[in-house]
Amino acid sequence: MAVDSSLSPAVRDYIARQPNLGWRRTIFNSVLRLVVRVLIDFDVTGIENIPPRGPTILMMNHISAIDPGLCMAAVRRRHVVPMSKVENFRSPVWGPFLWWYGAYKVHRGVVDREALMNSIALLKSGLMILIAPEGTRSPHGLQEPKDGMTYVATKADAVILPAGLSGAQHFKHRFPRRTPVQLHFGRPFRFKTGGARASHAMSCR
Amino acid sequence: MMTRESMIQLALAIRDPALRGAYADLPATSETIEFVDPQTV
Repeated sequence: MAVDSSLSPAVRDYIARQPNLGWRRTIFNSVLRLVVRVLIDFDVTGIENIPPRGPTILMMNHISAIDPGLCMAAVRRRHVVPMSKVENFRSPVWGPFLWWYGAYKVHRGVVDREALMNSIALLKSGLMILIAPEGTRSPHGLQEPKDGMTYVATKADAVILPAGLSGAQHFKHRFPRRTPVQLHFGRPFRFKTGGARASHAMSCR
Repeated sequence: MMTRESMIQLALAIRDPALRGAYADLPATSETIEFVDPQTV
C-alpha cells in the first residue's frame, strides 16, 4: 500500500499498518457476527447498496453503544474501520478490542486534525470507514451534525453509504433478551463538489 | 447544504420515523449530491 509522504509520521504509520490488520479484522468480525446472532434479532436490508470496493464512508445514526459493532457485523464483503472517541481506548472493556482491531482515535469537542487526516488517508487507500456525523449518541432522533464528515468525504472524493439503525437503543434495557434491530443501507451517493472547492468552503467558515 | 442533504439521506434510511429527529419531514433534494451505482464505484 503506497503511503503519502506528506502525512504526519503517526498517520503514515497507521496507514502503513492497514494491510497487516486484515486477518485480525476477519477473526474479529467472525466472532462479532456470532455474538450479534445470539443477542440481536437482526433485520438487515439494502445490502445491495454496499459498494464492494473503493473509498466509502459508512454514515450511521448513533443511538446506542453497540451501533458500530452492528454495522461492522452487517457489512460482510469488506472490513469497516471505525473511528472511536479517545475515551473508549482507555476503557478496560472496549479499549483492547479497539487497539487489536486497529480502530483510530478521535478527540471530541475539538478539531482533531490527526483523526481527519487518518480518515482521509484511509479512504484514499480504498477502505471503508465508519462515521457518526453527529459525533455523539442521539437515541431520541437525529441532531445537527458536525462538519467533519462532509470535509472528509469531499477531500477523499468518497462515496457515502447511509446506514439507518432502529431498535438498538433498547438493547441495554432488554439484555440478555434478544433485541429486535433494523439496519437499512440507503442509496449511496457522493458530493458533486470537487475536493478543492469543498476545502475552500470549509476554510472560510 | 451538502451536510443537510446527506443527513436527509441518512434519515430516509432509518426505518423508525421517531429516530429521524430534525430531518423527519424535510424533502430530499440532490443539489449537491449525486447517487452512484454501488457496483461501479
